[in-house]
Amino acid sequence: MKNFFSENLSSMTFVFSSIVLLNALLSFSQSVPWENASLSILKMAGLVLVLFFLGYVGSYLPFHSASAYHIFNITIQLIAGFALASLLGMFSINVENLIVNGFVYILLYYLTYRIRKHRFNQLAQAINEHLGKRE
Amino acid sequence: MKLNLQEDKSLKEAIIDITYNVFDRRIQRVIEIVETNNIQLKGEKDGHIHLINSQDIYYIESVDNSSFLYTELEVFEAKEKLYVLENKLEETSFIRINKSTILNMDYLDSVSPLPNYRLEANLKNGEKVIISRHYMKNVKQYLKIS
Repeated sequence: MKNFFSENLSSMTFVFSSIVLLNALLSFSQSVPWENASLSILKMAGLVLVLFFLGYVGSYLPFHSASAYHIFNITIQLIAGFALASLLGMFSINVENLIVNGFVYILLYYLTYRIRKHRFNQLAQAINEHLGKRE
Repeated sequence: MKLNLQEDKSLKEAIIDITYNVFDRRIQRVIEIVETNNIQLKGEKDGHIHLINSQDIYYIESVDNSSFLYTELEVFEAKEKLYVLENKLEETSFIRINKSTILNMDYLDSVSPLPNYRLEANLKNGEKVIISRHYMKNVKQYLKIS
């Protein structure tokens, strides 16, 4: 559990903040009050936690390629995400909602992947610098 | 306590001489550290048992319930399981880098990022091993990277 949070906390925070901000902007732009905002935010936090946990468990599975890992991850998370969001009453399952929320998910997944990749490359660089200093 | 370091390229291996006025806990700790790095492991090759200095081992890999000790040019089979060897080599330069490999960090030359958040560890003898994402923290801890 400690490993799960240390590896994923910053990404979860980014995704959660983005979703809350998007919802707030949508509500503001449509001049529609965001009803039960506190409950919605808690549900979003739970959803983000579950999806990241699924991704964490998936990272222990052996995949032949990075693409296979991402395809598996996206598929499982989309299915679980929509199922859970529907169960929690966060949105109803229809084509428009699936497309819009699917697009938001893919965008956030891509951004999270890019941030992680950048941090990972920085880590590799830091390790090489330390190894270089050792010589 | 003063520390004097002297380079002598004619030596085949490093010699550590400790001159002390009082044998205290600090001196004992230094000795423990040196002795820990002189651990020897038993490895079998061509039917013969060899005693291998841990400092000569590049990495240890577990394959099909057997552990293999990789030196610069040779491979020996160890009878002990990987976790037993890992415990023996605790507090040394050996760290676990994936489910089946313990790496001697003294022989790590550089790392290269791989897809799926893994690192390829390039060793000084040209070999490559994989550092998996779940063991990255061990490498960071060892190199004191935050």
